[in-house]
Formats: sequence, C-alpha cells, structure tokens
Amino acid sequence: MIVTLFLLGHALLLATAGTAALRRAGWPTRAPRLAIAAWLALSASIVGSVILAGLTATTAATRAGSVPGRCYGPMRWPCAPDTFSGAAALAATGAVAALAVAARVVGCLCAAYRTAARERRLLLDALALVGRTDARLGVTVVDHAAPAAYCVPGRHGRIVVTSGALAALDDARLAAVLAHERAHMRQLHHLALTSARGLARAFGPLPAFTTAQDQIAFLAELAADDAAAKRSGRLTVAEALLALAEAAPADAMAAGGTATGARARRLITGSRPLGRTRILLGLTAAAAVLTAPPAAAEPALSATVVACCGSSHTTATQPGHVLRGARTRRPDYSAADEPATPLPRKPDLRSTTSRYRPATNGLIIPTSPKRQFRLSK
Amino acid sequence: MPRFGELEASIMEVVWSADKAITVRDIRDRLGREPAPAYNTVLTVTEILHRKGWLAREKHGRAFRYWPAGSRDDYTAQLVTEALDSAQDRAAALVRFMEKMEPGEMAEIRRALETARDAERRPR
Repeated sequence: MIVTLFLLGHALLLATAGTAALRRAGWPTRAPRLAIAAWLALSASIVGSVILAGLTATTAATRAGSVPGRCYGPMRWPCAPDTFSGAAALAATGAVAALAVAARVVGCLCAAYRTAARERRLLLDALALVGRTDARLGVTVVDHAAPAAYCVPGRHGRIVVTSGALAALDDARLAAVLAHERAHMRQLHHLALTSARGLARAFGPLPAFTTAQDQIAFLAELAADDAAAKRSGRLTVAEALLALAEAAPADAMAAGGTATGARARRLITGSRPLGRTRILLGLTAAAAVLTAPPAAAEPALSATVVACCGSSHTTATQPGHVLRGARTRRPDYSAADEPATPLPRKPDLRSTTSRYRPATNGLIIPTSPKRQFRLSK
Repeated sequence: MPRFGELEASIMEVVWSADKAITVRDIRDRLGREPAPAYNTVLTVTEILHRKGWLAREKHGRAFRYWPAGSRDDYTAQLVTEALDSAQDRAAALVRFMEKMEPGEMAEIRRALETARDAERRPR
C-alpha cells in the first residue's frame, strides 16, 4: 500500500512540480536533445507510475484479503479474495485503473502513429504528382510563390522546398535550411513528436503532456538549428529564417513572441552548449526518473507473485527467502500454531499395498505373506 | 504502401490535360507510350486512383468516364498551405522550417542580426 501511495505521489509530483521546473529551467535551450530525452522520460515515468500504482494496489489488496492456508496450489496468482470486501473492491479498482491507463496509452500511441503514416502517404502521393525532384540539391521542388520548406520524415522521407523559398534564399542560406531539415530526419525527431502527440491526446486535459508536446516540438527545432549552425554558421541560419519569414505573407494572428522569433534570437546571441559532465549528469537523472517507478514496484509485485499463497508472516523483503519458505512450509499450518519440531511422518494407514497392517492399539506387527497365509487358515 | 507509381503519375497528367471527362481507352491512347500498356493495367491503375480520391467518375453507357477531383494547382496550393499554416491540424506528416512572424518581431530580429554581423566583421 505504501508503494502504491509512493508511486501516485511520484506521478503527481512529476506532473506538477516536475513539469513546471523543466519548463522554467534554463539549460534545455543549451542542450535541446538532452531536454527532449528529459521530457520523454518525464512523460513515460508519469504513465508508468500510474499503471504500476494500480497493479501494486491490486496485489496488496489481494494479499490482505486472502486468508493464508486457503490456497492449495503453489504460487497461484492472483489469489481470489475469500469474501467481497473493501480489499476486493480496492483490488478491482487498482486492476481496472491500471488496465484502463495502459490501454488508453497504447491505443492513442498507435492512433497517432497510424495518422502520421497515413498523412505522410497522402503527402508523398501528392508530391510525386505535383513536385519535381531536384537531383543536385536532393530535394523535391513545388512550384509555388509562397516560401516554404519542410521535411516529410520516414523511410521514404524527403525535403520539400517551394520555388518561392528557392528565390528568397541564396546558396549559403539554402544550405543552412537543408542542413536543418536533414538534422530533423537524421535525429528521428518525428518519433519523439508523434509519441508526444499520442500521449497528449491520451490525457487531453492534463497540462503535463500538452506542455511536453509543445516543448518537444520547440526543442526539436533548436536541435536542428544547432546542427545547421555547426555546418553553416549560426548567423547564416538566422538569416535564412528571417529571409523566409519576410518573404511569407505576414501573420496577423502571430502575437509578439513566436517560437521562430525565439529561435532567431537564440541563434543571433549564440548559446553556450552544456558541458559533457552536465549532459552525463542529466542523462543519469533522466534514467533515474524513468527507472524509479519499476524499481519501487518490483519488490511488492514479485513478492506477491511468489508469496500470495504462502503463509502471511513471510512478508517479502527477499524474494529468494520467500520462495524457499513457500515451498517447504506446509499450507495447513498458519504461523501461530505451527509446532517447533516437525511431526514424524505417519504411515498411510489406508494403503492396501503396505506390508504393515494396522493394529487396534496402534502397534504395528510386521507380517510376511507366508505368515499371513498361515494365520488365515 | 510504395510511393506513387510512375503510371499513376502519367495517368494523372493525361486526365489533368484533358478538357473533359475521358474513358480508360482515351487515357491509354493519350499516354503516348511505346508500347502502350495493356488496357487492363490502365483500367486497374485508374480504379486505384479513383479509390484514393484523385479521380471522380460517372457511368456513360457501358464505360466509366473519369475526371480529376482537384486541379493541379489545388494540390500544389494544398501542399504549400499545409506547410505554412500554423493553425492546421495535419501537422502529423511534416516538420516545417519556420512559422510566420508578425512584422514588428521581424524588424526587431533584422536589427539584431545586422548588429551581430557588424560586430563579427569589426574586430578583424
């Protein structure tokens, strides 16, 4: 039960304070790829904690509700509670909650990936028809005056540039744009984006997941900007951004600070990348956040699997000990009335093949087949 | 599913360049290929294009006549607006380079960029 509460608290803490802290932190713009990993770890850890909390609630409640000695089969799981009680209700609630959350996550992730694949196929079809391939640049060109550049990621992925964008960019800036898009494809940003989109859809009203989605989208741009800046120089990337933005019809909807503006400002002022030690530290922290829920739930879950039909006092700190205890101890005795020394094994009196014949006073007279024959005469 | 086939693209070109709804036999004749593909091949691919929503059709006598569901410019415009429109819902398929900015912000960034370029040139 304590484990369940710990897991729920962990999820709640990550969804509120953890999300707020990560969003407000300064380092993500200095290490965008690490920050993407951090957001994914945070989201996965929240979901994992909630699922594991449901499971541990179920196992704890079934253990509390079942009377030891009633189960005869070894390691039967889940043990059915004897009576419908609060424990049974809790067990059912936990199991239903865990299943519901898991099903929702898997369903929404699958839906997000399916949608992305379908949209991508439609887009590639249309591009094959109306676009022309520029072999020199390795891009698909669409003849349209509006400047736009994007990549369609995936196995048949490609970079798309409009003729308007080609007109607005000189060679150096075009190279910067292409380096940016290639970085998106190489770093598989669409996988992180689609996963984040699926989770955001699964738990719509929860701000933690929508925040993660927005942040990952922004951080993916920063990571691609960094790759392009390494190749073409950060001011060239900023110029390319500005050139395309100025050639596009201005957006009346865009309020003061857009994400593109923030990217341009970051490229102009330059950002000091995070040191290797701190990156390692961050990766360790992300791994810790990710592994904390399973590590916390593991003893409770595995002990229940092993010991839920054993006697009640073998509470489960060491799975190995419980395993031995559960196997050697006879299920008929509970902890209180078990004798200090084991009873001698009584011979089975009903056996017809036994050479020992029972006597009324408890004495056992050995008989041979020969003597038996003589006695019966 | 593989990418849009070469024959599919050729058929769409023919249908787009025709000024009215045409039959599969017309399509095959206008493909201008030597040797011309089998009638059944053209029929199958045209059916696929109809099923994918690229072609509309109507029965005339014993044969269907096909015409494009959207003009070439429609598709081009769609490809571009999808990439430019920040309020669009079909973001699942692509990662775009930039979104539109408001004029004040662009001017501010332009100034900052020029200052940075100047500072870069001066010390040398």
